[in-house]
Amino acid sequence: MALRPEVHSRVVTILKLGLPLVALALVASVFLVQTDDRLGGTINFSEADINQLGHGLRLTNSVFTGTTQSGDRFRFTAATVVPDAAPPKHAAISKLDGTLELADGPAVSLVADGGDLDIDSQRLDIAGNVRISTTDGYELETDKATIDFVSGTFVAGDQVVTRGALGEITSGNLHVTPAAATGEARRFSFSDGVRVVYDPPDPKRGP
Amino acid sequence: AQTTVPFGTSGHDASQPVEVTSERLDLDQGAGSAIFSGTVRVGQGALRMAADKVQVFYDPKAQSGTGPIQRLIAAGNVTLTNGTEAAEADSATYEVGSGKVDMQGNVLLTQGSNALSGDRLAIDLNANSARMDGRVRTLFVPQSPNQPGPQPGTASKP
Repeated sequence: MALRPEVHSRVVTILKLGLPLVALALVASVFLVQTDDRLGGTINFSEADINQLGHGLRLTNSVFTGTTQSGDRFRFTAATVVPDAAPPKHAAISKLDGTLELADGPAVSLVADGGDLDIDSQRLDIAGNVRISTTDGYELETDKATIDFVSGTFVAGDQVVTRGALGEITSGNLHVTPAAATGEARRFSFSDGVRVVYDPPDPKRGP
Repeated sequence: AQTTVPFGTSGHDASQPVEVTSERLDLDQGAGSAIFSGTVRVGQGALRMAADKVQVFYDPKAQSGTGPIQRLIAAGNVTLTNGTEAAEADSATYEVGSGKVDMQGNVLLTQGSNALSGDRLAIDLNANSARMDGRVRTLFVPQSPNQPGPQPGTASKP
């Protein structure tokens, strides 16, 4: 039974539109519908993750590098960096690990549990098991310290133990000013009560 | 005039740990010097030195002899004591290696009831002797037979 002409043309127009759409859907499904797991491990967010993410952005395994005014090059990595807003004023950092190649001196390596980076003033406040060592044999332990990336000064907080050529130095705090600022060589200023215990090598005890 | 007196009994062991306390310490790595300031107390064995400021010269690379610390220069109300004797002066230089202490300016050495004053006192810690130079005056308080004489010169400055 032949179709009536008007029915025939309507069917043709429907098919003319329908068939390409169906084809399009078929092609799209090849990409959208995931069959095997090429990414390895599905990415799923638990409720806690989402809450912890809070509202903003969260960077993981981030790297922060640059050079201070006095030419010290620094490179810091952090497990997580959570900026406080967009554009960020502060960034909370966890598991900080960094090196500071001093223009006029040794390389300094630094680790700390966490820190807060003030982005405008380029100041990093670090806290928690702060351990610092330098390639010329200085070691430093404290709980709180501040690094000013612009001027390159470093201030360690309210109880500092430093080990170096002079033996073990316990002090209330420690200020390290770069050479450029003071003109002479780098200055370490311990203040707020200083105690140095120096154990000279005993010729009898051998090296 | 010059007078040599014993200073200390047992030899001074320069390898004993040195402890320094002060209000402040400035470390100048370039010059290899450390400046302690503000009620500085230095102690090594029985030896005690106190001063307003002590500059320590050290060479981080020197490991031989007495190691990095080579010389201490104390200035301002310097007092040096080894338990039995006390010496006061305006300034003092302590050569750690040779165990020699050179005190200068208004020097006052008190030993028991005797006191000796002069311009310069050179102490040799290892030989347990001290030589006072320049306008040496001896304060000697005769012991009256029955009761011990007053201790002159032991009132140390606050």
